Amino acid sequence: MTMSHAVARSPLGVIWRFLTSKVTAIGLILTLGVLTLLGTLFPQLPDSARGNSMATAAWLDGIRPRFGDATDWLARMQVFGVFHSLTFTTTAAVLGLSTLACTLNRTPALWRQVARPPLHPSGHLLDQIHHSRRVVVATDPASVTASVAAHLRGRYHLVTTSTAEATDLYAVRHRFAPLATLVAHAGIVLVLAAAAVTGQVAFRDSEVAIVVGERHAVGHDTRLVIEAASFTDSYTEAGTPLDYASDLKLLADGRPVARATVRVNEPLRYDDIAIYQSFYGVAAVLQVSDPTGTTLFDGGVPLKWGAEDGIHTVGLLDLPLPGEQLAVVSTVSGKRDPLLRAGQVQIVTYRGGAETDRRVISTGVATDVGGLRVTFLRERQFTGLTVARDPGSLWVWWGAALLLVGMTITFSMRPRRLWVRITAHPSGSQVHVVTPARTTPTDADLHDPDSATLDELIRALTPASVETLPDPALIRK
Amino acid sequence: MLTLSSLAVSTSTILVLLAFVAALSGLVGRRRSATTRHTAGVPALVLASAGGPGQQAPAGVLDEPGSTDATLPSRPTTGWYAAALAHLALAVLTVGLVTRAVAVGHGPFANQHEFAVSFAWGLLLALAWTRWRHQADGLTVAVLPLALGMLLYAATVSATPNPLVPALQHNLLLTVHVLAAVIAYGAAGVACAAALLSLGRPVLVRLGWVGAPAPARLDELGYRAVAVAFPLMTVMLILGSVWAERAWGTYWSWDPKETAALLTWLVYGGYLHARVVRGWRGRRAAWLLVVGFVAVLFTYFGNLFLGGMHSYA
Repeated sequence: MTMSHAVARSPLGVIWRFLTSKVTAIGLILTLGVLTLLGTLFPQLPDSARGNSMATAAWLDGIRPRFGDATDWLARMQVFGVFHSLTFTTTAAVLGLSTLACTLNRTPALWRQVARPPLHPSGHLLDQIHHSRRVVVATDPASVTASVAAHLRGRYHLVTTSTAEATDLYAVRHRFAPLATLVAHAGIVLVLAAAAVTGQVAFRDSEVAIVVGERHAVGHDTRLVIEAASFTDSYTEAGTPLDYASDLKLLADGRPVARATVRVNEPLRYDDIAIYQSFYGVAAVLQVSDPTGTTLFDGGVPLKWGAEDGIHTVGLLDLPLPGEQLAVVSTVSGKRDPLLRAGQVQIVTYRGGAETDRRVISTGVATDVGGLRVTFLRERQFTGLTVARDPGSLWVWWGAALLLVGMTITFSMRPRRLWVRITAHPSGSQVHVVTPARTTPTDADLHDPDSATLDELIRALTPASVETLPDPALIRK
Repeated sequence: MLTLSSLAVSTSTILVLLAFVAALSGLVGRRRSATTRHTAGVPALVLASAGGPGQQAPAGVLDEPGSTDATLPSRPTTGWYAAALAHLALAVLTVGLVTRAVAVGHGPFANQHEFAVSFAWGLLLALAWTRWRHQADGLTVAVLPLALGMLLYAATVSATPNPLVPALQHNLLLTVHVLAAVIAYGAAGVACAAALLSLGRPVLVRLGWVGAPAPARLDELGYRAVAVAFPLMTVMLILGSVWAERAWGTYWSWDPKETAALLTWLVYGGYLHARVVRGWRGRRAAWLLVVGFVAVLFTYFGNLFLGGMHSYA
């Protein structure tokens, strides 16, 4: 694609030249590489804490012993959130635009190469000529032309013939292969665009904890409700999880629409919603009432967070009272805490984020805690699910498929081209065959299909003599 | 079955060691041989079988170890023994991996030991392919230490098979995803070997290794190895994303292992663009190949210190 001088100097022209510059592309790839290295070496803020200032501060406190005084500075530099930083997303976006611009920029030339191949090597093609042989055969030019064309067609070459003062043949195998690089780069653009769509319109609730026997509304305008009918888990002798699975019912507007056993690697898919088995644990089944005896809560509180001491698990419950929360603390199975024995949980109440009371309560004993009457009924398992809808993912897979197909063709089916000129000769015909270089000139001994095709053709002509020509310009038209 | 597998891995380790010793001694032998010919007044770059005495051999042919041994066709060379031992090691290691897969009931890629052995297998496979496709004997001496290192590392970590954690319980994806990685990393190792030989060539030549492959040839061999490794790395990343979507509910979660693999892919992508589009050759391209293989090793060993969702492996 050529641009007039005025267009090239306009702001759009400058942007276009920047985006289509190979130096830009390589620079962006390397920049993305360096940023990725940073994001790999430094711990990254988990998704669950992103956007939550209290959770972020707690997470930073957790890594503070490792990074010391530099922690806050590194956080300000977005080192702990590289992949969501403006620098990273901008670099990825510009790389996507650069890839798109380069693809568009190369398309006309590549299409011309495929649709209107040069019947005579000229210009830069002459610089690429690597193999050049001239032979004399004792047959008239017309017969030789027919033999050469038949030979090459038999080896899956598309042969084009033109006759002027000499007969010229252009033969190509894998004619459309040069377009594969466009397909591969279009795939990358599609993946990046789809990932951007994912970020805007998808939802992914990764901490959905449902106590067995209870229900959870999916939300996000879906009218779907998940019911955890049962949960099973099994372990090795060493205590490593071997399997864990949830029997889930999916209801739409109260009617069951799907039921499946969901385990890791076996999600439940319904329409564009997918439900994945993610984690599991124990819930404390509580009854909570206010001083008037009104029931505020009757159900299970999933103890889905581990405490820093490694001994306790914690669950949080938002009460239907403004600013009131309740935390349930239990001892992890297999661990011992003399102050919190089996059959007991600790209840901590909060109002406006400030602790108001804490008590250890025993199973079945109604206890007043922070002005609430709390009864711990029993423990029950909960299943932890990820619920997601990602319309962008389908396009990611299409992009990935394009990338893979394009790349495979690019690296395995490079076009094989030969130019043959046949002229009359006192002994019959003179045949001059050239092929472009696939390798550097010193690599003549590396496997080279073009060279093999050329040699095969020469042998098939059974020539009286073979002359290897150093100067391919001899056939310059 | 597990005993047979362990025996095969141990045998293969010894065979790779012997192959490496043979390759090294081949270099020493060639040095002596070249010195002898020079002192006898015979030009070193003469190939008796290439068209009669005095005819100059095509460029590159004589750059390969063993090619001057064409003058001694009746006796196998140390280079030949090195290659034969490497091939035998590959065959024995294949037996070791297959028997382990049968014993544990899944592809032998589930822990550091199994992947280290598979990594060595990938290196030996890529070496065998390169030798067959490009008659590149010169790379043997640089690839074998990488394979040997992996096998020795495998011997230092626990080989006890454990049941697969739930996330890994997908036999098809486990096999195809990790197999793509194994072969890609093997090809990347061959590319790195070519780069190291290219970078160290001046020193090797100064030390008297007349058979050091030509820089342009090493450059081309490195590129061709990446042309195999890069698409396979892409397959690995895509299948990893497919698996992550199925198991974790998202095709990409910026897990350290994922990002390390992406980093490796970007390095090789940068190399391909720099070489093909900008014409990078020689030392600059070679350094990129070395960086690429360091990224491969970083991705592999990252399990030990990066943590994240792949820390079970």
